[in-house]
Amino acid sequence: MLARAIANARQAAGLSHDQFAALLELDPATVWAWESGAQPIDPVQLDVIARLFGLDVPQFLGADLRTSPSTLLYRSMAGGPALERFASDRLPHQLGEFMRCARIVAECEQLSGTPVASLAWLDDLSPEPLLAGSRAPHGAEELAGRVRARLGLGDRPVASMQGLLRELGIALFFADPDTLHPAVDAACMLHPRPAILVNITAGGDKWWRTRMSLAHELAHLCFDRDVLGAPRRFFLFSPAERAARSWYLFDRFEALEQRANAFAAYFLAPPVAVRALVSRSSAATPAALHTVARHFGVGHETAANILTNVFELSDIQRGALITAPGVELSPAHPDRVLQPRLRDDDFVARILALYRDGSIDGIRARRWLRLGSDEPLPEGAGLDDEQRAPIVSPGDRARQRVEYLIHRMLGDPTLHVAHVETLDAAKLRVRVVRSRDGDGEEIVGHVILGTDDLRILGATGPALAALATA
Amino acid sequence: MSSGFCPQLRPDSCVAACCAMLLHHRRPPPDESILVTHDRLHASLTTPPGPGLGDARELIGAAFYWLDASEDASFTLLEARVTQTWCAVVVFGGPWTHDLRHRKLTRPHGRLSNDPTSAHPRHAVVLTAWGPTSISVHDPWFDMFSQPVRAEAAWLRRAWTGELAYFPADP
Repeated sequence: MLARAIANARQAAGLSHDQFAALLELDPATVWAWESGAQPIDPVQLDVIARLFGLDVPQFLGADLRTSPSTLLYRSMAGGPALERFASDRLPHQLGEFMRCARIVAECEQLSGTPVASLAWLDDLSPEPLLAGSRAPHGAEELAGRVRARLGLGDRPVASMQGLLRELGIALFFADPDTLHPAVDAACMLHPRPAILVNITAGGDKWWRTRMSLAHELAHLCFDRDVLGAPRRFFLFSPAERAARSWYLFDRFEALEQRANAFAAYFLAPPVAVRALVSRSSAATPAALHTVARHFGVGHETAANILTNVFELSDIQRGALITAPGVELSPAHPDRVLQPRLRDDDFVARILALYRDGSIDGIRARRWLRLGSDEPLPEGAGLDDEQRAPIVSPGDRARQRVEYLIHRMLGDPTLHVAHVETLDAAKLRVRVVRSRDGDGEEIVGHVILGTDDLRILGATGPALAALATA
Repeated sequence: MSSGFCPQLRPDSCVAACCAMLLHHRRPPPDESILVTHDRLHASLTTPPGPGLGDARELIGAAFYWLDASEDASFTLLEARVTQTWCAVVVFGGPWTHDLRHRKLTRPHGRLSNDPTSAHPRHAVVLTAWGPTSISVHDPWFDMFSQPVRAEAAWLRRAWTGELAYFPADP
């Protein structure tokens, strides 16, 4: 039953009725009513609930949520103040959509026969809990060196973080502050496939920031997988730097963030390579700053921090580097992000290709693309107009809508929709009949609906008068 | 030919046939209550007029819902249900028949509808499986050798009235 499924999900996440209602932006009484069966759950609301867990509805109703990635994260937050903040920023919905997209990619890979990314490289890098009393940067340099060695990078600059991570089988997603609250810089997950989401808060041209975020999340995937108790179900988000202190997800969360930040800098600019590139005597100069930034593909502030750490510069020297004339990096770079949206062109093309090849139907393609069944599919994959055409017409939907309203508002089992006709571009007219046992049917009236929104504009016939108020 | 299929005996007994299929799929324990249920079903199969799917609750004790089929979310919920168990649904006869028109199916009761735009008549079928590209349907209008009927989800999306009956897997 839906009521039980919702109660189980809430309890698995360790959430009270009030907390669950806050995540859904609803009155707690509504959650109580659903779970007790006093109020039916609208399918649209059910979709929203499933999204909180990074699932679609069929998965949600069939899943064991006790060990699902988002459930583990909710449990870690349920006892602290972070959950309230999390809910107020709408992050559960936005991150849930990211998880859904990663799942879709995994399903696409299964359907197309592409092996889902192997995690063999990751298994060679065992999680590294923070040692008691460890201080920043918490061994980040050694960890970055370990990953570089495992990936065979030597001391070379990383030409493209996106290319490197994709080669490792990590799906990459990008969002902008319109779709992901700027309180979150990035997120990452492992199940059912590894994926990273980066919030492009400063614009796609600032690719050096994207590189840092990607390297930061790589650190979480490599070394922080056990912080939520189930390494294979790992899912974590990284707050924007200034917001990190206001979040509490688990003990020493802030320290993990510090370590991942330091890891990112050491991973992109290995100290050995920095020493080979810049002499100690010139390390505190703007020229050295520019050289490091350009060579390793890092931003101004990161380059200053790297020089400070590698050459143990003073606070005054660091301050001078930070305030030095800005490093001008060309916007043309493989890590530049042109489409900061979850469903970018590659994502769309992947789904359209599956549809073209007959691996999925138009219903599933639209669901994965977040399109209505009354909308055409986007152009691409060589699909013709007929293949892209909407599945349901306004007339189909009007017939279904009126049939439902007759049942819900009139409760007369003898009344049914008959024909639908188009009055003009904006209006449809639905004929309603009453069936007579063994003696055909009689017309009882018509319902007029708006073509676009199916809003009832009027109803004729006394039997249908109540529908005019729908 | 498909296991668990029950044809309708009369042109208006599709709901009773669908209830029989749901009951067969559920395989309930053989106590006295099931005999009562069978009596009710038998009457529905042989005595006009046929029941509506909303009567499935009384006939066999199945859960019954009427969702707003104009919403895509309702259709997604239907898929979720079919993934878990067999579900009886009602379709608008005209569109349903229109989309099946190229199938060579044996119709013991003649044509269900001649008008592809007409909602009339309502017709009940049982959805038994939901795949990435097709849905497996037991349609009692056709003979047992035509079963299961492979339908496209798009057809059902157009033709579904929103009515749904099933035995919850976890009652």
